[in-house]
This record gives sequence, structure tokens and C-alpha cells, in this order.
Amino acid sequence: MASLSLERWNVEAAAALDRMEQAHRAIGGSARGRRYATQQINQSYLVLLSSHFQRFCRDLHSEAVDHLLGGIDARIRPIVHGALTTGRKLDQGNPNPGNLGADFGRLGMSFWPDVNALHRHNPQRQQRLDLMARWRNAIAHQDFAGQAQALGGRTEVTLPEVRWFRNACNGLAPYFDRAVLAHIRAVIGPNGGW
Amino acid sequence: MGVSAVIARLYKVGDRVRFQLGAHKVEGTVVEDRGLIGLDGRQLVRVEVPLDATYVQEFELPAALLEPARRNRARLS
Repeated sequence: MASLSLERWNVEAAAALDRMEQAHRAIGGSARGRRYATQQINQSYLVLLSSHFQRFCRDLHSEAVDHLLGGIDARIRPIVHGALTTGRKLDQGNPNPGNLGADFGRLGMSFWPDVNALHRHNPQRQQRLDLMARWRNAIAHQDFAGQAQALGGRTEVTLPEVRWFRNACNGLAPYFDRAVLAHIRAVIGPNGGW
Repeated sequence: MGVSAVIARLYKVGDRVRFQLGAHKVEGTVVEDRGLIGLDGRQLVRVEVPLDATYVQEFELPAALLEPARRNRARLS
């Protein structure tokens, strides 16, 4: 069984991202200006992908906290809830590997070692996530110079690259879910979690 | 139909709520509906609470731990 957060990623986020694919296809043909228009869509697609993945990761964190704290005294629960979620990096920042490790680390997880131990491709997916965050920042802040080294001096992202990032997110999401579930069960017992 | 489709949202953004924080009841405003992603598909919300005149803290909490503040109760009655 999957977390509610993963279900939301698989259904709602997928539908929203598929609409960007449709928008890209709708600008068909070879008319002048098409390349400029598709570049705008590619950039929008990448930023939307990053924001939906951020939402998934933030949701998964919230869901995990609620499961971890489900059995504690209701008078103490808001205090601990606050300690685990206030000032969370995923509330403000990208779902980059550092932010994910920091936020899930607050729950007592060794996040990336746990995720990477689940599949041999996950370390490469982690690297792609880092690169996606750099593209996202360059696009959102229109600061390609600041990310020039990571982006190889490029200012345009291609549709296959965005799909490559999306595949990395799709590949990582179920392993995030599994790693967090395993952690919850290790902490509160084998019947914990989803 | 998923669990989230049959469980009601208890609060919406802008609602005034109260909850027990340690030895005190505090009052705040719902600033974000996080959706039906809590334990058993229950609603989670973020509540902004002015802890004193200079400091506002946000708490992400299960809606089940909250109760409507007086203004909401008056509106509902």
C-alpha cells in the first residue's frame, strides 16, 4: 500500500504534468517562433515538475510526522509536531538532495543512504534531482550565469531533458515512500505507517 | 473511492481555531489546508499562532486536535 502522498503524486501531479506535454505538442509545425515558444514551455514544464515533486516530498514528510506522533499524548503532540515541521526546508526550498536529507533527518532518518540502499539506480537519480534543482533555480530566478558551471553554460533546456528529470522523480518517489515507511515501522512498530 | 474522498475537511483557510499547547490553550488562524494526508486520511492544516506581540509561529497539526475559536462558534450557531 502506498502513502496518500504518493497516490497524490501518481494521480494529481501526473495529470498536471501530462498537460504540459499536451501543450508542447499543441505548438507543432515549423513556423518561425516555434522554438522560442517551446523553450518557454520546456522551462515552465521543468519548474512545474519541481514544484509538484516538492509538494510530494513535503506531503510525505507531513504524513510521516502524523504517523510517527499518532500514539502520543494529545497535550504534547502539538509541541512535537511544531518541532518537527516548523522551519522545514521543503516549505520554502527546492526538493534538492540537501533539503530532503535535512528535513527527513529531523525525523531520525539517514535519508539518502536509506533510499540509495533500495535500488542501484537511486544514486544516479539523486544526482539528476540535484541538476533539476539547479535548472529550476536558473529558470525561476532567470540567473543562468549563477548556475553556468552546473548547466555547462547552457540557457535552454530540451523536452527530453525535462522528461529525463521527470523519470528520475518518478523513479525516486516510490523509494522515498518505502524508505520512510520502513523508518516509521522501525520507530513505532511493524503495524505503523500506511 | 479513496479514503481521502470520504473524510470531511474540518477547517478551511481563514478559520480561527484553538488548541492545547503545553499548559495553555492558544488561538490562531488556519493559513494552509494541507489536505487529507494525515493518519487515516485525516486533514492536516497549518495554523499561524501569535505567541506574543513580536513572534508568530506556524504549527502543522491534525485538524482533530483543533477546536473552533469563539468567532467560528458564533458564526456556526
